[in-house]
Amino acid sequence: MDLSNFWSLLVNSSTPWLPSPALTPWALRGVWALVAGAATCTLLARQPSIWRWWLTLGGMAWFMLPGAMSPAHWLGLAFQMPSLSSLVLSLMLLWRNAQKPAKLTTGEPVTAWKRLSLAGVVLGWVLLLDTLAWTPISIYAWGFSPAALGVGLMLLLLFWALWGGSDAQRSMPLTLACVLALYGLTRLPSGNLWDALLDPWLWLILQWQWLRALTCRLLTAWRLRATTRA
Amino acid sequence: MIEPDEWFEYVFAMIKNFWCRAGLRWLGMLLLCLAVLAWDLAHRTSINTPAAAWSTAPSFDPVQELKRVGQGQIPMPDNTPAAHASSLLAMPKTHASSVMAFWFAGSKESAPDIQIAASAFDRTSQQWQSARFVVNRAELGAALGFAVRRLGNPVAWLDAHQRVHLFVVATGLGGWAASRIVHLRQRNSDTKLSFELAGMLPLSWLWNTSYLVRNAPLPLQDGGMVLPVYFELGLKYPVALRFDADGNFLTMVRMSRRTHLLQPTLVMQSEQKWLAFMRDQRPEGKVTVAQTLDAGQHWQDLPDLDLLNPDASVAGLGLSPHHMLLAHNSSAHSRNVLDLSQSADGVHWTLLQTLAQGSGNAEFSYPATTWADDSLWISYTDQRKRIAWQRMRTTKP
Repeated sequence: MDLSNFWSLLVNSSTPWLPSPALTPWALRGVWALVAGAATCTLLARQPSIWRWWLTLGGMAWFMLPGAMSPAHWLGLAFQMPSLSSLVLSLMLLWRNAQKPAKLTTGEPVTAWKRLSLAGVVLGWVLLLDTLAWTPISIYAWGFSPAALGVGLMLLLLFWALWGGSDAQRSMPLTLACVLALYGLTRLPSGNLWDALLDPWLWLILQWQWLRALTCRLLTAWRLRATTRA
Repeated sequence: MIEPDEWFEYVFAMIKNFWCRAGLRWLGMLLLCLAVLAWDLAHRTSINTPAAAWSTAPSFDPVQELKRVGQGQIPMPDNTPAAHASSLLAMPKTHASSVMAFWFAGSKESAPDIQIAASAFDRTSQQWQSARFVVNRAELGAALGFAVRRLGNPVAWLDAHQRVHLFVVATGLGGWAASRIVHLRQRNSDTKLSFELAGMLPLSWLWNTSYLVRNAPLPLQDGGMVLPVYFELGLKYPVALRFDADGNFLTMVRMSRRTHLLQPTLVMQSEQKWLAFMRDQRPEGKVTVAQTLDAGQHWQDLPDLDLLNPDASVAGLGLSPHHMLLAHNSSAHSRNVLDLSQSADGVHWTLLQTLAQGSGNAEFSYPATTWADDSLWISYTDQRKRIAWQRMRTTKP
């Protein structure tokens, strides 16, 4: 069996399971509301708590308005629905902001999250090249198949084996578990696993973080060398 | 140093330690994964790969000529000066209409007031009925939950339950390059043609943009169909989407490795062997071809045809294993001549007749074809203002 036949079997062996069209408009507003709320709350982290939360909740309520009154109506025009990863990360940010004092991420990210964000960057590039027909096989189409979900769950078990025992690193596999479980239940946002795991905006943010970390590391190494020479 | 008689106790203590600390966590995560996978598999069915179905009767004799028996312009809705991109749908013999036509109309292409119009050719009166609008972007946006900037190319299909499905291009932010394909379905027990949302087809990771539809689907023997679509953001390539008899999306398969092809039209040579003829975006372009030998599971590029293609849409129809038709613009750099050609092998084509001809900036373009009531039906855009139609019957030479 050659690669294309095997790929066909893997991709096209069973029917895709798409989300309900009745659920999607509500989910669109809800997910955008949570993402916008998390962004608002985080950007206003230094503001007095009462103002921060009133603006956050007010903004989220604005997103839940029906029809063209909601910013989600227009964001959906351009960007459809964010991924479930964006949704779960937004919920985590809101939860951390709600802690007293707010437990926002500081310092060096733990290994598990570094690995996952690198995987996200690579996955995004693969999906972008696939969209532009640069890959020999259709990666996006595979996202509809149960085989893709099966591989995702196997990776989850691997991450759990590697990092599930560490208090500091357990949050990563638990986040992935939430994303996969939500996807399994709701099929949001599109019935395709890749759309559930990663959206282009999240991918851009991950790339920016990696580029920033790389730049900091290079600058630090350059300064150290300059100091050593001096 | 552990004594041999203490090994058993040591191993037992390790196992007990493992289960108490990590075992329950492991078991919990494993059960969650198995539950998610089982839930997913429970909602799936396996996909078959049915062959294509002929639209002509088994008794169709290819050794016949086509004679024009009707032509004109399809009525337009009131106060709509622009029309483009028609699609034809053959209706069953029990229906009051032979054929239905769908197209987009409004003040001009890409205008905010563009809607999807429809008309039907009545069997009794042998006339086209008054046209009316059936899809508008405001109602579509309300159903989707997000805005639709513009509407475009409609393509119609009849499912196994005799419901009309409509696939419509709906643009996002950024013109046609930001298009998506919306799937609409005729409401149940609806004698008046009205549509409900079936969903937005998920075709691309990049904000689901840049897929469009243009040509008619190829019917399959199981009642399903294969819908030819194309990607159009910078690069252009054709894709085949498969649907089941109820209109549920099944698979997507890229049809060509080339990236300058769009608007594929599917023509069957046999139940398993199909050809896809495509518009060529390059200057000095030709009608391009891809073929499948296994009912659409895999596609291979073939050499371009000798037919000129001035970056214009083509429409094909397979009447029998050795009788294919192709409506296409045949003059270089313009769309002022629309021809109908025929071929026995899909490679060598001869002109059957000229469908429409003008000079200068005249445009006869975006043809659509179907077979109904033992006739070939063709529609096409006439000067971007009207949808013209022709009907041809077969006659013995």
